Amino acid sequence: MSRVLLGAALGIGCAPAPSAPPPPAGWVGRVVADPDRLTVLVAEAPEAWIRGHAGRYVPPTVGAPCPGWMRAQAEVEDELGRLTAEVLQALAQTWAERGALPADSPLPALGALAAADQGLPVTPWIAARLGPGWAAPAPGLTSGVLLEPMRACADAHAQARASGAAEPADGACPPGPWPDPWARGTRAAALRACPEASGDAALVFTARWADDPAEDAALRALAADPYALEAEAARFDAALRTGASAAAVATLDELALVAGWRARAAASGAPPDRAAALPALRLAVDAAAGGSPGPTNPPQLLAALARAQVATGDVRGAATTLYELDPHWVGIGPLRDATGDLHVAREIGRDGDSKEL
Amino acid sequence: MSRPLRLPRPLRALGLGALALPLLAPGAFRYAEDRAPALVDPLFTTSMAEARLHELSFEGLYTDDQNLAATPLLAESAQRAPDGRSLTVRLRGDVTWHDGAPLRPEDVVFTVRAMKDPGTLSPEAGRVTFIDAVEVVDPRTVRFTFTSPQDRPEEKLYFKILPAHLFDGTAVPRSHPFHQRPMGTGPYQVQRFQPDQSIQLQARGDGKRRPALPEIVMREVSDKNYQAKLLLYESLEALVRVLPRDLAVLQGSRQVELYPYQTNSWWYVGMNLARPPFDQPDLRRGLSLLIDAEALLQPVGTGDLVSGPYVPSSPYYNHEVPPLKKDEAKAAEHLGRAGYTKKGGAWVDRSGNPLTFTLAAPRGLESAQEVVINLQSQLASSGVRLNVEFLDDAAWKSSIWRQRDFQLVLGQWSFDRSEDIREQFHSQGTRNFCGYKNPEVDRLLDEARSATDPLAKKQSLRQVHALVHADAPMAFLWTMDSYAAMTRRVRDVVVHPFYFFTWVRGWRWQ
Repeated sequence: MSRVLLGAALGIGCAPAPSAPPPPAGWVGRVVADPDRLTVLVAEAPEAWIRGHAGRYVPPTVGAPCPGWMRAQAEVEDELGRLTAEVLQALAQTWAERGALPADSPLPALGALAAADQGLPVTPWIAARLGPGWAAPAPGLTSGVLLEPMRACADAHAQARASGAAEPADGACPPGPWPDPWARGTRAAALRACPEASGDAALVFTARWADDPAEDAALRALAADPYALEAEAARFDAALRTGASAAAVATLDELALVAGWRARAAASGAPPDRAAALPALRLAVDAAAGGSPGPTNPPQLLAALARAQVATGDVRGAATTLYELDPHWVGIGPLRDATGDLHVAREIGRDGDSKEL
Repeated sequence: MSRPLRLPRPLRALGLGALALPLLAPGAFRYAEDRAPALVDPLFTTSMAEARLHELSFEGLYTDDQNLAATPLLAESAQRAPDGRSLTVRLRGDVTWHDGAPLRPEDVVFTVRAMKDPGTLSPEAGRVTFIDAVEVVDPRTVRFTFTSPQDRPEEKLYFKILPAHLFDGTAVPRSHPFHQRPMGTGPYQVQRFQPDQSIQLQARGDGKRRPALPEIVMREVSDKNYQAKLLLYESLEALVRVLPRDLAVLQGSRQVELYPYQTNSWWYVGMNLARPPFDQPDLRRGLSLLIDAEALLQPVGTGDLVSGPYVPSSPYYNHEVPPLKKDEAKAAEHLGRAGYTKKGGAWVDRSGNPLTFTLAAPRGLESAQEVVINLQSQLASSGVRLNVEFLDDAAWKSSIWRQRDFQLVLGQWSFDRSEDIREQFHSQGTRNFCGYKNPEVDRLLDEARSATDPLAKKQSLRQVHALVHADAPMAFLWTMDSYAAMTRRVRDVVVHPFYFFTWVRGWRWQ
C-alpha cells in the first residue's frame, strides 16, 4: 500500500468522536481544506520553499517580499547569535581558568562584542579582563576594544545593516578561527527588514497556527508542557483528518504539517530561560529523524536546544546538535568549533571513563 | 500502583512466555539490558551494563551534578594543597554501607590500593594512576598524594568506593565472594540475583538520600526486537538503548518518552597485534579494506561511518581522514606486500595455507550476530575465511581482557564526555587489549592529557586519530545515536549522558 493510501487508511481509523471540537482556524486547516493553495504558493519560488521546509537557510533578496517562514529565520539567527556570545565568553573564561589563555587572545573582546550586539550582558569576568577601555558599544558596532583588523569588518556590517543586506561586503570579514560576532545580528536584521508577504505566504510553515493572535499565543504557551502541546497537536491532527480528501491526508503526512508546527511552536514558545526550557526542547526533538534538521526538527528547535545544552553544562551535547545543524544552516562551522573548544577547555585536567558496548 | 503481571496476548503469541515477569512488589521499575553483567563489582567494570548497575548501588567521593560539574557525594569537603600535589578529603558522617557499617576512610584507602594492586588486575586501574599514595588522616579524613600537581583532582575521584571490611587484602581475585553479595552505599541495594539473569535492587537511605522509586529490576533481554515490544506492553519501564529502527514506533507511542544521551560509542573490528599475522601493518590494512562497513551497518540501523576512534561530532574527530571504503584492489596491494597471494579465489600465505581468522563476538547480542554473519559473507566473497566464536560475558573477560587469546574481536567502545581514548590506544593503557603500540601516539596522548591549551589538545588528538587510522589496529566501523526509552509513568527523569542512573534519586512515579 502506498504511503498516501496508508495515510488515508490511518486517517479513517483514527477519526475522533464526532463531538471533538474542531481546531482553531489557521493555515494548516486551510491547506488541508484545499491542498492546491499550497501548490500555487510553492510554485512562486519552489526552490526556496523546498529548502525552507527542509530546514535549510534561505537568504532574503533585498527588496523582495519574504514569506513568513523566511522572516522567522531571524529567530534562528537570534538564538545562534546569543549562543555565539555565550560560547565565546564562556570559552575565554574557562580557558583562562583551566589553562593559560594567551594575553593577546581576541576571545574576550569577541565575546563582549557578540554579547553587546545581541543585547546580552557582558559577563563580569570578561569586563574585568578587558579593563576600563571596554564600553558596551550600544547601539553601534564599534568599541574601544576593537582590534584594528576588525574595524573594517564592523564597518562593513554597519553598512550592510543600513542597506538591508544580509551579509557584509565580500572580503570585509575574512573567515577566521572564531565566529564573526556581528554576522548573526546582520542577518537577523536583514530578515526582519524584508517586506512581509501577504496572504497564505505570511503564515504557511510558521509557528503560528491560529489566525486569532490571542488564541495563537495560548497555543504556544502550551510549549512549556510538552505533553499538553503533544496532546493538542494530536487532537488537531485527528480533527483535520476527519473527512479530509486523500490529497489532503497525503499533504498532511508527507509534509509533516502538524508535527512540524508542533516542533516550531515548542521552540518559539519555550521559556526564555534556556536552562529551564531544556526538558521541553529535548522532548520536542524528532528522534526518529535522527535529530537531523528537517520539517519535524526545524532549525529554530535545534538552535534553542543547543543553547539550552550549553546553559546546562552539556556542551558536548550542544556540539552534537550543531554538528547536525551544520550542513543545513549558514555559518555554523566556526560556532561549532568554538563550542567544541569550550567543551575541550571544560575537560582540561579531567580523565575520562570508557566501557564496552 | 498496579500493573498487569501477565504478558498481553500479542507477546505470548510471540513466544515471550519465557520473559513473563516474576511477581514483583508494585512499584518496581524494570529496565532492559542486552546482556546482564557478569560481575557486580566495580573493581572489574568493563561494560556499560555494569557501569549502569554500579551507578545504582555504589558511590564515589564525587559525582556529576546536573550541570555536569563535580560535586561531593561521599566527600563532605576537601582541601587541595597549594602545590596541587595532595588533596585532603573529609568524608560525610552520615553514610553507611548497605550492611549498616559506617563509611570509613579505610574504605577509600582500600579501594585505591585494590585498583592499583597488580594482583587484582583491575581494568579500572587506569583511573587511579594519578594517585601516588593514599592514607587515613583521622576517622573521617583521607589524604591523597598525586604523582604530579592536580588542578581539579576531584574531577578524577568519581570511581566507586568499596567496603574494606568485606575484603581480606588489596589483591582481589575475580572469584571473591563479594560479587555474589555486592555491598555499596548507593541509593539501591542489590537484593537478589534471579535465575533468569535479572537483578533486583531495593531503595535504601533516609530522607533526601532515599530514592522515590522503591525498587529497580535489571532484566536481561538480548533480543532487541522484544525489548521495544515489552516496553510498549508495559512489561518494562525502560530501555537503556533503543535501536534506531525502533525509534519511530516508540516515539509514536503516547506511553513512552525518548531520552537522548551521548555515549560517544563506535563499533570496530579489533586485531590482536601481539600475534602474527596482525603484527604486519599491511595485513591489517588489507583486511580493513575488504570490509564494507556501510553494508554491515544497513541491517543494524542508521548511523555514521567513522574513520578513527572518535564520533564525527567530536571536536577531536579528524575530518580530513575519510572512513575506509571497501577496495579490493588496494587490499590486494597491501596483502601482496604482507606476503599473501590469491589462488583460486582464496588468499593464501607463503606456505599455501588459506587466510583464515577467528573472530570473537559477544554472545546474545542480536545486532552483533547480524554484523558477524554479514562480515563472514563479505570476507568469504573476497577470499578470506572467517570463523566465529560467540563468547558470553565471563568468557569474554577471560579470553579478551585477561588472556588476550583472540585474533579478531567485534566490539563497541563507549566514552563519557571526555572521550579519553588513552586506555585503548596508549601502550600502557589498561583497555588496550589489542596490544597497539606507537611511540608517537603515546607522546601525543600524554601531551593531550597534560595540555592546558584546548586548541593544542584538540590538534594532538586529531593527529592521534590520523595515526591510529593509518596503523589500523582496528577496522573502525560506525557510530549510532543513543536514545533511552522510558514509560511516561516515571517523571522528573534526567538521564546522565554516560552513567544513565546518576540522578535516579529524583525520578518518581507519576
